[in-house]
Amino acid sequence: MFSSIKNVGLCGCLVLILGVCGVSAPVDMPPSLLFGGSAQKFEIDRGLDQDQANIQILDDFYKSREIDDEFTNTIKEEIASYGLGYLQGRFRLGLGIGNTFAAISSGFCANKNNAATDFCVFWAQCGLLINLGMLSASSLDLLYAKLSKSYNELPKGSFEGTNQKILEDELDLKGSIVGEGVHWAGKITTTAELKTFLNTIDETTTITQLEQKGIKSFFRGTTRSKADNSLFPGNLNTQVFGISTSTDPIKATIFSIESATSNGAYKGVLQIGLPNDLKNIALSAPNYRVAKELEVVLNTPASNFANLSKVEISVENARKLVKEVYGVDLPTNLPRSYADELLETIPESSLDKAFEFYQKAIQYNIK
Amino acid sequence: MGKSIEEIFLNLESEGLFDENKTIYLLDLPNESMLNRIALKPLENEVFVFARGYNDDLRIGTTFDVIFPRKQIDDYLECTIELKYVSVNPKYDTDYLPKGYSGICLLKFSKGLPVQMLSKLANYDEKKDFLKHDKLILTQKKGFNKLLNVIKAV
Repeated sequence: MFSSIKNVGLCGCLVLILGVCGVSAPVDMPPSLLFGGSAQKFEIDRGLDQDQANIQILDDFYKSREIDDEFTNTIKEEIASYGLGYLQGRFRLGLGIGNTFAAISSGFCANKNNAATDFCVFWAQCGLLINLGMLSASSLDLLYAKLSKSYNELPKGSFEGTNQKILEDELDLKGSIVGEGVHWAGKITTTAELKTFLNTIDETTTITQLEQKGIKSFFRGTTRSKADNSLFPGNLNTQVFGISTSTDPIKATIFSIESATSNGAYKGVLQIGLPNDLKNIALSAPNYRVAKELEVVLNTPASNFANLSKVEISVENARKLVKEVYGVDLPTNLPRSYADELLETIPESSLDKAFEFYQKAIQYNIK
Repeated sequence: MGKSIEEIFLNLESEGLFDENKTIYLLDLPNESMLNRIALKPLENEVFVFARGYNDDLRIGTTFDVIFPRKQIDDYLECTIELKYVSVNPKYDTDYLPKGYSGICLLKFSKGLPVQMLSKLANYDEKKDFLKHDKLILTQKKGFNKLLNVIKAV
């Protein structure tokens, strides 16, 4: 399958350039403009409109890769069903991931190993397709199966260890996305979608993208000193790798209760930040238990989040609001053995309910 | 009516019994997708678990000498258990389990894997049945003996 790179389609080389340069496009720009004049010329030469051109690119690409028609047909059907607006919608969210793919691919190419180079061009093309918003959950499913198979066929030792691990991570990430059926267009409507989406966050994701998916508030349960009201700065890991917030006020309140319970010198507080105030903060990949905690890791000190947060309320008022908004009666003290159990058993907040919680919390703001 | 063992445990825990003794709580078992992100594979008598340390940062190499289910303290086992590896986040490595964090930990049991005990741990993706599943606690004999003595005295 990867015997030669001579037949690689047009898009592979282009996405490598895009990825390496970190090129991004304005949200409403048609996908073909990503290519500059080349893509338009490609379309004009063939007398195609934009959607037809996209399909043609895919046709050429997959014929050259000796891949069956199933994948291409799936994408064709999606284009036919949803049209360009759909592609553009997904293009927004696919951008970061696509560039990551392309960047990884360029790293492999640098190894100058034939098999690796061929594979990485294929991989880069996947990045392009994601950038174009041409991959949805169903087509990613097929793509992932093909990538996994192809990857396993490669002779081991083709890649430098680090790059190989990154590739495995990305394959695994895509597998997770596919398995749970995330659609990249539109807002998150279910907790399952939220969990899957949160698991895809990395340093290329922005707060604005989270807001576009419907995440309107970020909650951090922490503590302040009873003596001087100083904020708990977090431990060394927090300071180096970022602070944990949650999209779910119940979970954040549990963390606050637990922290205050384990240290009598501290009182619990719940801080709430809004996307507009946090938009300049970089994100980091979540920890493994993101699905249990609905975690978003912000790469900033605890003190900065505290400063930027619109609202801070006492843990007592947070408990009161959890009862009012969700009907959940959280205990005043939480031994460590029970906090984790509670995280498992309490209902999870929808994004809309979380925002409602924020709106109600304003009345208790102590900032 | 006297206190239940669980209440005694929680009281002692709240009073800091396990803060004086290196302790780690085993929460559940990571899924295959998570383990695929870790290059390391368990050797004989080793197992990957999700664990959380509350009282201290736990460095790789830390050892524990008792393991018990939180709700069935009498079912304890004495053996040396070593923390061999920690991964809190798939994107970076640490050589310790930070205080308060949950991470995937590789544990090595000196006397072979306590399979029956480990079967009390749910899988990460599984809905927990608290009649069937439990947390496992790894600590030091000194602290554990104190717990046993208090239970016997009640």
